[in-house]
Amino acid sequence: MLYPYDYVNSIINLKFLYMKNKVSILLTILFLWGWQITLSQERIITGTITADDDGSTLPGVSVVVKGTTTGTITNLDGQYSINVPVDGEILVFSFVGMKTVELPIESNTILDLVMEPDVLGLEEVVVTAAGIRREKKALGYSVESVDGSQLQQVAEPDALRALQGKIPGVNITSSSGAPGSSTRITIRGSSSLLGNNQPLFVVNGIPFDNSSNSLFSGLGDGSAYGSRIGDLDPNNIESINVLKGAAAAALYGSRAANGVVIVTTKSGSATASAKGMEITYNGSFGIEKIANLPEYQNTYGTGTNFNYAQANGSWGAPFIGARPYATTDSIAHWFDGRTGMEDYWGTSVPYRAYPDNVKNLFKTGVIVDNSLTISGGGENSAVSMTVSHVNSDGYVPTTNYTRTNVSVGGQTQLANGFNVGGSVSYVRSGQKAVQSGVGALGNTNQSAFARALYLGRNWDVHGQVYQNPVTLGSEFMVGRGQADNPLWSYENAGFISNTDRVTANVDLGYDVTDWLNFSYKIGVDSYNDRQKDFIRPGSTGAQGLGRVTLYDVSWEEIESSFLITFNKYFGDWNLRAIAGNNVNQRTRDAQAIQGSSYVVFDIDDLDNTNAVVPFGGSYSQSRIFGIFGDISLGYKGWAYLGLTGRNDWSSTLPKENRSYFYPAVTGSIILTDALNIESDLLNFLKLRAAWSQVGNDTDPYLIRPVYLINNFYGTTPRPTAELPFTPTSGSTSAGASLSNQERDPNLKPERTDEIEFGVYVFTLNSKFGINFTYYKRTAKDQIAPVSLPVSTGFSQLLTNFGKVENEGVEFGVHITPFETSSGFRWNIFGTFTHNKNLILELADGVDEITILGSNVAAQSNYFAGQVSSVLRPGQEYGLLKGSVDMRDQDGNLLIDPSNGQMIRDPNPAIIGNPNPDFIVGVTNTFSFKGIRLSAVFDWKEGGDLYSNTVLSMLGRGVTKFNEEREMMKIIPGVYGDPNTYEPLMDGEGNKIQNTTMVETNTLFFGETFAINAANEWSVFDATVYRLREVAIAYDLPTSLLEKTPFGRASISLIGRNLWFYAPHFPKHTNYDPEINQYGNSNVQGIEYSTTPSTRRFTLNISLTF
Amino acid sequence: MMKKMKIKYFISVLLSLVLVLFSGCEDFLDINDDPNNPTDVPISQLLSTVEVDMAGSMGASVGGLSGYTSAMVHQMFQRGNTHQFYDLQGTDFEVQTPWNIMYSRLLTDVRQIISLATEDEGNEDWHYVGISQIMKAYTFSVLVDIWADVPFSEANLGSEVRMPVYDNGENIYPQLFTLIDEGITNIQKTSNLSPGTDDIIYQGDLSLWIKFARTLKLKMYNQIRLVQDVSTEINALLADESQLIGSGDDFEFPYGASLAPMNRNPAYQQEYTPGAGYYYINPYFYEILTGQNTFFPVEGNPYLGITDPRVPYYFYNQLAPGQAAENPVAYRNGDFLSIYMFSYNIDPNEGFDQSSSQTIAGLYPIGGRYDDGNGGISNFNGAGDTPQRMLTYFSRLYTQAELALAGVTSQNDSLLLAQAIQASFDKVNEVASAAGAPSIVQTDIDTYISSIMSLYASADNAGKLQHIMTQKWIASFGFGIDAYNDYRRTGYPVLHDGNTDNLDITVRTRDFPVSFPWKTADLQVNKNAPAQKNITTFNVFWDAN
Repeated sequence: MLYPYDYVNSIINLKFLYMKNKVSILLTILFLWGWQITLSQERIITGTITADDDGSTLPGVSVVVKGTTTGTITNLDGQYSINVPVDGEILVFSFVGMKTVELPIESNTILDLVMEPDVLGLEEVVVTAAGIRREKKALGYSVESVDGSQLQQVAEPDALRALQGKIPGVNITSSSGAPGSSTRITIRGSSSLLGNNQPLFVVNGIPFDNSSNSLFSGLGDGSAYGSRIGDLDPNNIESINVLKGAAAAALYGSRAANGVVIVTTKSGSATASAKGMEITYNGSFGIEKIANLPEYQNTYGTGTNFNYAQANGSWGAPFIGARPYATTDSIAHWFDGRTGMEDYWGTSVPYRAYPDNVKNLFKTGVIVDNSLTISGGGENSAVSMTVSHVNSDGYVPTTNYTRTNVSVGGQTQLANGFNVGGSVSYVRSGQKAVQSGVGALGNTNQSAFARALYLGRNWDVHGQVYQNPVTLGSEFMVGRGQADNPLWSYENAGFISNTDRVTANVDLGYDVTDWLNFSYKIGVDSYNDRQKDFIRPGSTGAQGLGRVTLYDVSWEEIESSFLITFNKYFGDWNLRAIAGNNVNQRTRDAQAIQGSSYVVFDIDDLDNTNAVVPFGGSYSQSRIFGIFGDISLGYKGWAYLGLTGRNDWSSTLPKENRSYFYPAVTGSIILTDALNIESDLLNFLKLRAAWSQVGNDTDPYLIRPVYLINNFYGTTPRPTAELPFTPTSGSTSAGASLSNQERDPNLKPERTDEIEFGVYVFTLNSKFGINFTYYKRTAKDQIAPVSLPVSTGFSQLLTNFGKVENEGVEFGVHITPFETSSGFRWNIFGTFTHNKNLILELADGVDEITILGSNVAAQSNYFAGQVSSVLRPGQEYGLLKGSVDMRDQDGNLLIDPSNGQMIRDPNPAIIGNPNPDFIVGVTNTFSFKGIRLSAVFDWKEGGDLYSNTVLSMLGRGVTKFNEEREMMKIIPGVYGDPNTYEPLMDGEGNKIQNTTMVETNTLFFGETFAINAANEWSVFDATVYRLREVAIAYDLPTSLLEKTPFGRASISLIGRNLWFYAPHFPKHTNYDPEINQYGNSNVQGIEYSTTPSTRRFTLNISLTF
Repeated sequence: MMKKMKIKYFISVLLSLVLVLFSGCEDFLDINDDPNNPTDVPISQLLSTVEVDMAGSMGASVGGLSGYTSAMVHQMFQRGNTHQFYDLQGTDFEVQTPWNIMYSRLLTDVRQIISLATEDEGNEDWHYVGISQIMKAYTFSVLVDIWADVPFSEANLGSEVRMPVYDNGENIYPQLFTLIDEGITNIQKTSNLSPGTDDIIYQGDLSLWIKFARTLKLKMYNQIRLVQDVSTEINALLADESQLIGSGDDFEFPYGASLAPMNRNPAYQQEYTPGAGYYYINPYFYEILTGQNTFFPVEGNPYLGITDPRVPYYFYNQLAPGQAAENPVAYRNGDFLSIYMFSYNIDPNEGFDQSSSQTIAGLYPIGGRYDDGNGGISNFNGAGDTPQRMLTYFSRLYTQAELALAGVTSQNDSLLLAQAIQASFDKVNEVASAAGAPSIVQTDIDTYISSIMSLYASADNAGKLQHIMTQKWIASFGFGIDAYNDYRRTGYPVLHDGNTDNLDITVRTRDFPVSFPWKTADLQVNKNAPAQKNITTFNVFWDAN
């Protein structure tokens, strides 16, 4: 029964089934075929259904005799033929995306119909919790649906990024421009204090893991890690439904408190219809480049105070011709004196600018994406298969992402009344990225981006070798202790991830009567992600010895659900009740192992290292057993009331607290129908309200403290020896240490409450519509670590605490400003998202909590540890905290009289709020006779970003921003005492204005505004305006295709990220703030040196035959 | 009819399936024990970890206390860092890391050992208890010496006390003496289990633990001698010197040779990563050891014209004779290359990368390379396993010399000083011989000792104290904690002052930090914690200056 539409349910009028068996079960369902033979004999009505916009015939339209269960579906040519019983008076025609029409039969034998698109989307059927399909108009909560074709048109390999700007209430942020890197999505803000804030993904009814499996923090060591939702092939997506509220999600329980993204794949959605066989080919070819580079200055080379030196900063002597006094025309070769580089000793190189030295570090990336979908079926059976492959070479040399997907699924209605369906999908994803962490003392400057965006202006990176001929190690313009040459790093350090993922599900349904149905579904999502992080010898990283780290992660999730559905009309009343059971098991097994000190230079394999040690691992398994019920009462199709409840038992909680119940109530009324309003001024008005609660468990093994074996204090650099320990003369000792996370043996479930109100209105002859939602969500009793002062012996206590509120509004606006009878149409779809997040309370007496990821960074990395992400009562989520300079009571900066620079405040302070104020997305679509032009513009207002990249661009003096530098400046402020932090007073007790001048160089290097400065000066408002996407598509007219084998053909050209403007970033840095060091974690608004974003052009061809 | 039967059958199968699942639910859900991490471990494994953590938290890498304390007493320091002019922050890695290791690991594991070792009444592991108590006392004495007031009475109680108060160091110290005495008593009891090779420092030799405990008391009594009459306690300890640390009994953590897991001295790992030299040697320290004073007032160097034979063991010049440095140079003296303290953000040459050219710490302090005068970039080309010294025989002798000079004891201060210097040279030779480097010949040692002793003989009492403390300071290189304590207690050695030297690229804008700032993050999550201190005035209770 595969959750058919209400009205399709009634068509089940099975008479004959022809079945052709093939080799395997999968291939069996691939070639199922059927047709209908009618047995009744009263009246036969025939007709042809065509579409209003292009005149094409519509196959698969449901035709039902009103008030009966008699019905049929139009064939490939849009024709139908139906036996109407004697008492049949009206035929009801319905089709997804079209307005439902009722036609009186009267004395006709032929009834043709032109169907109009359903702009309001009211007839739309969406997939809701537990895979239950519901008409959108009946829902008391907000659901957004995106059609798969919208994703395929965009030709974006990452399904989530393709959704950017298209769904109100949803915030989607890409982590970097590296192929395959992660994307973060949050719905209605972050409610979990420190846990997962991303929605639950459900693919074909089975949860789909979206972990970002990374061994390193992404900071000290690290790379552009992916998130596993990337395994989802947009080509195979039939539809995406986003359940935003907790009410929508109550039936998914625990993990649904952050919303649910329900994906139905093509192979998983094969639905019996009279479609026949259809083959769709979709192919695209795209090129991409780095979205923007700063405007570099080419006047000064490296050094300080207008003198040349072999330094990082371009604050040195001007180039000949750039300034009248310039005299330096050659410099000692950078490799002078280096072992193995004797050829360069005593030589010199010209001192001049290399304006394109940064630009030439990057190339044009190429993305090739091919997919083939074959679907076929009859009334009773259907099958669909998708094969696809995408290959994406990034703009950073050697970076690559590939994904191969084979999926097949089908459904059949057996003669004995059972309905059987299933789908299976295999995906292989491969990612190669460069090292992109930030440098840290002693062992991690192997990042390809350590210097890439702020190369010394006189560095002839491309004209010089980058590899030592003897050691094969990196040779760069600065010394060994600094950074690797990016060209060397591309080739000789990196990150590789290969994931094999299989998802499969089968379901079985049985219609006991036309109002009672049983169904059972079981599915599995499992993958194995094998990662390799390698740094070859001669890098500044890994002590120059070479290091390869393997990380192997296995994931398996099994979900089983059993549903009993009751659906019956009682006069004007419709009662729909569902009772169900749900069992879920999740297992994660991970192990890392590290080999150090390479034997042969370029073999990145454990066997090629001199020492191999275990490098951490974990195993966890959790189970949930749940029962739930859902009652929906409808009156005359305009009033609905819904009640749901669920009880879960979770293995992760203490026995006495492991059972928890949570309910939801929703209601909606369509006033226009209720009051019979039919007016051009008010076409449709619906009000809805919902209240819900969601309970949540936690990760396994968190209720009792454990010892960690051979665990050492893992900062970078390491202050202690590692374990096990063997002294030079002596035997080996293993070590153990009590975990520094204190545990609470009495954990109880987390709770989230949410209320939601919505108005959906269409007016002006349906040319203007607004879907408005207000929500308020409160999460409390969260299970999260509270930071403890380490003097307790622990750094954190995992317990229930806190209260977080998210309050917001969402608008979806549909406007049709212009429409002609000749078929020209201009549609505007706008989204507006505003979420206000407030931490109402933390644990008793706790004023601040540092978010875990950043906490590790803050304490564990010598250089990177300055900015952290914190929670404070009464404040928004994840505020940035970092160092600031001292001010007096009047807000004047205190200036150190000895050098004219500022005085660092010993206490760090809040320096930024990364949460955007609002997000606006506007999609303009113009269509005319098969040509569609659409443009997505989005605007993210507010949200701060700490940017080490911008800091470095300024501090290294490479951009035009500080090209004018032959002047002295005075930092506005008053003199202060660095010992007492008090302003100095003159003889009359007045503060003394600073008059000490500093050089421009010092303004960006010192206790000033960039390098070595307080963090506060590198926080920028990340407001950004963006032309996200422009696509022009052309559907070849049917008439042209008549003599070809193609049923449909379209061609489109898409540009992504064509333009952006971030007005609050320093001029000439051209910085795109939409990247984040911490990938898809809760730590947002901190960037050290990530791969910049991309700009892409794609040509896409779609053929159906 | 058939159809109805089928339905009934179908329903009953499904319902019973649900019931079976549900009744098995309890067992089904009892899977919440972590299969990979134990809830119980042998105390021997905890002891090893405690010793590793103790050496690391007090050691000479940037994450150990010897890093910052050595910088404060002008032995070595970093470029591009505000600690050059005494600006220490509670967010500094160097401040947070030792604090974190000591409280969240070392002291917690010590607590676990004591609790596990005494849980089986009548069958206690007293030896583990005793050793743990002594290490706990030592750790807290260091915490007080560095941070003045620290959590003690309410520390390490987990979620029982989430916000421990900061106790006054003056109230902590007496309890530490008691703790050491209890430790000695427990070590002398019959014990169920006794440590062996899991005791990495003393390999289970309990008599050495007792010697260490008594020497620690001597050091701590000396530490508080300006604020308390300690002559009775000290003379009692000195009544039997064989019960104190003697030659070869040093409390030090031996490092190993393994690269993976990294068992080498962490400071060595930091400095000898190819071309990644990090700590600069303070030119002031270098000039005192080489008898020069090119940039500071003459009274700064009591040993003008005297060259210390330990120089090639202390410092390693990466530059070969006459070789050019990679960048413009701030301070070069022969092949010794460094930068000036107090020149951060003032001297442009301070900021240049010289990691392949700068002089770095050598064999003796961190297990680096013996300087044979030929240069060469650091490239894991040193010993790497030189122990982290903590409490040594020579430091005991310097302490005795100081006590004798101060009249606390009636011992011969001059003789003790000469013995102390000899013991410090012996220690250098011990390290050299372990690393296969040449030894300092005794005639050179004698020459050096006699020149120091003749200066000592002619000095007044203040001058004599200066010589004892300066010699102790030189000998301490690689373990900065005691030197930082001694300087605050005695005012010696005389340190370089960026405002009174003859350089215009050095400015000292802050006063000397008389204790370290508390870890900022801990203050913020602890309502019972004091406000952050002014580190130029908040002194330790024993600091009578």
